[in-house]
Amino acid sequence: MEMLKIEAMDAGYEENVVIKNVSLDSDIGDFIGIIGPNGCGKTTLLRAIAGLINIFNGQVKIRGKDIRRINRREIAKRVAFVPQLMVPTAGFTVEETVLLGRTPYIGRFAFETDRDYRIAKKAAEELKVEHLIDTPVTSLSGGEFQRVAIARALAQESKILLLDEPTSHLDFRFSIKVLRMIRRLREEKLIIATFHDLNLAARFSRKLMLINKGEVIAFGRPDAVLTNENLKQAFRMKLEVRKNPKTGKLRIVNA
Amino acid sequence: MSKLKSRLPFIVYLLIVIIILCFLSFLVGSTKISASKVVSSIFSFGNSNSSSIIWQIRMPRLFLAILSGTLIAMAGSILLGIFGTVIIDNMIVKASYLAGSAVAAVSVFMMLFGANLDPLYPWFLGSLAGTTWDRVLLIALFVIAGLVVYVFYYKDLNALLFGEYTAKTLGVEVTRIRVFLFAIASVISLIAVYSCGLLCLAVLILPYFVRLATGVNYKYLIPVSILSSASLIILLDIFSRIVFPAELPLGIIAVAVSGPFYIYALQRRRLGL
Repeated sequence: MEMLKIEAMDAGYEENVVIKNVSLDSDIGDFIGIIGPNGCGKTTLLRAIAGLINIFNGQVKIRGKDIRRINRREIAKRVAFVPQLMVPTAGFTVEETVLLGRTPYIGRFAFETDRDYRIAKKAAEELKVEHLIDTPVTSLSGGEFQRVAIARALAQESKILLLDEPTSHLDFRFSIKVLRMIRRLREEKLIIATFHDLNLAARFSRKLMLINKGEVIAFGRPDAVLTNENLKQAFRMKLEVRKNPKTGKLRIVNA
Repeated sequence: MSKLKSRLPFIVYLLIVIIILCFLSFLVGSTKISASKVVSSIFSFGNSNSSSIIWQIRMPRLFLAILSGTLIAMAGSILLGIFGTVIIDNMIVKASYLAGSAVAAVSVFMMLFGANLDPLYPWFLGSLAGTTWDRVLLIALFVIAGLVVYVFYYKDLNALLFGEYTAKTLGVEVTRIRVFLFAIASVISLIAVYSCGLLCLAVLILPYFVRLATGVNYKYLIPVSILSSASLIILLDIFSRIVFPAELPLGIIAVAVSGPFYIYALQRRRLGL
């Protein structure tokens, strides 16, 4: 049974439908990039998959189970979410922030166990922030904190990892670094991330989903999705997709 | 462990402050008792006059001050956690503060003209005078209940700091927890009113400032807030005994002292800090 199955889903806030008729079948090992113009519903789609907002029609199924039938704590063990702008919170060290990811596993009348600390440490190691473990998060750089935020999600040990613009406030070098780390996680997870930067999305995603006005325009391999026509339809400007003949890498430029 | 190392000095410092204040509060009152006599009275349960004043009058009063501070600190920290900084903008808080100030002003006015305030006095103005051990024990039970809630719910308060969506993705039932903690904070506030008067709730603002110093991690925010609020209430109580021989009500001093802090907090809020 596939990890995540979305069937003709309409989702949104209160009464407003933001995302229309989205379907998706995906499994562990996938890295899906979601692209589209500002306000097209990228973040809303991630929120719907995390069970945070209303699903009006269709459904989101995790391992065949309707997400609306799973309680918060159980969803948190299956789906982790790295929000776009997680603000470093004064008074927390890196370790304490990463440990927050263990919240769904710690019972109401229990405390963090050695195992939780071990898992948090491993998540920090995975994102190369273990040397900062006792540092207050407020004294980290943007790149370091973003990795801490991802490590927190990793500590949730979920099979599905959602990232909302994981590189939005990182410089080029850090963007590549962080995305490489995320890509490595793919082996045991299904990763879905939204992107502003089409070039980064093309380079790191195995599949792309292009959205405009809440509807999917194209879904598939990057070279199939990133066509001049598709991009024009979504972004309303002339963009040109160039393929490096040697490496096969795609590059999108403003034509 | 280094995180503990960096936070411990602050807590130790507050503990020293509170111990000094406790000692001071034994010294101050209508009957003069020398420092050496205070020490000997604390450690001997003799029937001497000073010993019975310390054990029967000043000690329960001090304990009630500490317990009241604890209650107010817990309620204030929890409210801060479920409403965020909105608490400062919260109409309820503003309104209750204004109402409190109005009551204080009216009472002072009435006192000046010799009106009989007796029925009003304990509920609004608050005073720790005449505290008995029975009362201390009763309040202590609620304080213990409050501490139990803190121990088992600080994790949820921490998760809520990161916003509603993130708290939900961490598995927290946000709405249910908010309603539950709001109910708990309300009960704690009510007990605090019973314990030290409505106006003392002005000290609810303290965790907001403690937070600027310690950060928002509830693991530390609540203990530090408790120590600071308890110190403050003891201090205000000492003040009420020294400055006004007839004992100015505690609540009036609490409102007067915390007033500028409310204005500062509102100003910060307006500036978007």
